[in-house]
Amino acid sequence: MRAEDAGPVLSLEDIHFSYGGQPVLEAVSLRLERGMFLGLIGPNGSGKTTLLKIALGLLRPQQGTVRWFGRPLVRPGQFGARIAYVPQLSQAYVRPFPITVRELVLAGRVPRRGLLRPLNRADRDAVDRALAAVGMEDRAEARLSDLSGGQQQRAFIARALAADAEVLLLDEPMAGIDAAAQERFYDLLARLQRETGRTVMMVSHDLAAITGRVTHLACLNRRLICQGPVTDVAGDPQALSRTFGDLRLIAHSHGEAS
Amino acid sequence: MDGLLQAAASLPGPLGLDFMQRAYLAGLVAGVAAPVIGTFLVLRRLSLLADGLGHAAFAGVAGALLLGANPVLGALAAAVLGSLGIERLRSAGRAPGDAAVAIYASLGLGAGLVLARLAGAGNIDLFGYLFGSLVTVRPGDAALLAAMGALVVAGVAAFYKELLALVVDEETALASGLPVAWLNRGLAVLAAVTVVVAMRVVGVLLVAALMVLPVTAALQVARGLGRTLLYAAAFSTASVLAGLTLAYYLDVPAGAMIVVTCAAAWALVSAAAGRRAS
Ligand SMILES: Nc1ncnc2c1ncn2[C@@H]1O[C@H](COP(=O)(O)OP(=O)(O)O)[C@@H](O)[C@H]1O
Ligand SMILES: [Mg+2]
Repeated sequence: MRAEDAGPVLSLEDIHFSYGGQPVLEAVSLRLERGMFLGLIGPNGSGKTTLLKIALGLLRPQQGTVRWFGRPLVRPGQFGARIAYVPQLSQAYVRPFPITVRELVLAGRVPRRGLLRPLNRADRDAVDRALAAVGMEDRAEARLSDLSGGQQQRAFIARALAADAEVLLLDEPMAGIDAAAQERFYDLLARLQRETGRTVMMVSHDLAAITGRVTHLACLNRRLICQGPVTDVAGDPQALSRTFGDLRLIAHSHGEAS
Repeated sequence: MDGLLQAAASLPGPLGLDFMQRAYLAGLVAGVAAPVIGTFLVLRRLSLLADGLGHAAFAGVAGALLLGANPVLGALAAAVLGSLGIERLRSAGRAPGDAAVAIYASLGLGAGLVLARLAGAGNIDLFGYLFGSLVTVRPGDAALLAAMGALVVAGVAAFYKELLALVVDEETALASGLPVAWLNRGLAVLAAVTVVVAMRVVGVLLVAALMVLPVTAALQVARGLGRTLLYAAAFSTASVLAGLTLAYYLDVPAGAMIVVTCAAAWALVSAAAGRRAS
């Protein structure tokens, strides 16, 4: 363990952001501690994806700082393979796209090897393990454009798993995935977090699905409405209604899940 | 070496003629390099880039003729500058990829025609640069083209795993610390080099055919990036060899004939893929 690792893995401090018009994020401060499984929830358009991209350095906030492992983030990719990312799949690969599932997952290993260093046996083994973890071994040689949206999503999850990173940032990774596969993936994340001390931050707009799984919750709707241990936040109807607007809807769907 | 040349000289048909041997060599170099870079352009939806760089290269040829410099080097300089300029516009988000290409393409052709006129258009073979002039490849040119082709293939081979990650999804590649900006610039430079090689074979107006058609054919049947590159190169070299040979016997322009055989190969592969799928 490095000395710097005593503090939070990620801290976002007073983040303000707009794409040019209306502010999308205002005064957002968020801490991701080592070993947390944090669910970032909020309705569509609340700025979850934007906040993740700011955390990764893909977008630059107009105000505020991003720190990883205690150090300020100055450029995307600064911490290399220590952080793995599953982007929100807004658009499936429909055109003929020749990349196979195996190649996609192998791409997750590339940042671990230097330029001009070939991928090796360990990388291939990690790819096999990641494919098995998402149940895609038998589709490994299929082209991405020959898969359903849910299968593509699983392949992208496998790419992040193959990277073997300390921190996983996942943007709505369960979209389009069937219930059984979701269950298995949640179990896998919980195991990674509990047994190997990985830190996980998962974005979701589905409070009901995520509540029983995460250790902590943060509610975002342009501003950070609340954050804390899952039991505190999920038991705070006021915070939830300020996040999602309609309290009854939330109470209903929450009740369904539990 | 002499023995080899003598043996070659006794070959039947076009293979026995040394200008045709150089044409075949240049054609093969372009036939491999063009679809290799073309694959990355197509997968990144930058197919039009080939077209735009061809036009920029044309301005370079005209500029070099005006200054009395080597036209191939002039084309290379203009294509590299154009390519980096387009990449800059695209990555800064100041123009969508296709608009950035259109800006440079029209500028290239316009400036090229102006420069050619100033250089004394009557004296130079404009037609050859617009539509290719394989049969006028001189020994020095052949060596230069071969070196440029080797550079393209070696560049892609050296950074293959990074290019794979880039082609899959640029944003995640960037977030994971890959040198995305340098990879993009490198690809842009290699694309410019490729365009100059292909310009000699099919001319600036048809460069895109050699870089895009074999790739679209390969995409219908190939699984995986490696195989896409391989199939595209195979379709393209076969088309170049067939086109060049047909052009010799039919006495038609080689570049144009090669584009026709490329299109025929694409149609054949499409039909076969369609049959297999149904
Ligand atoms: N590239 C963009 N340009 C302009 N506005 C954007 C862009 N991306 C997202 N937005 C806007 O920013 C807001 C937040 O978007 P986003 O972060 O994607 O929300 P979420 O992930 O919570 O659904 C939305 O109102 C959306 O319309
Ligand atoms: Mg989102």
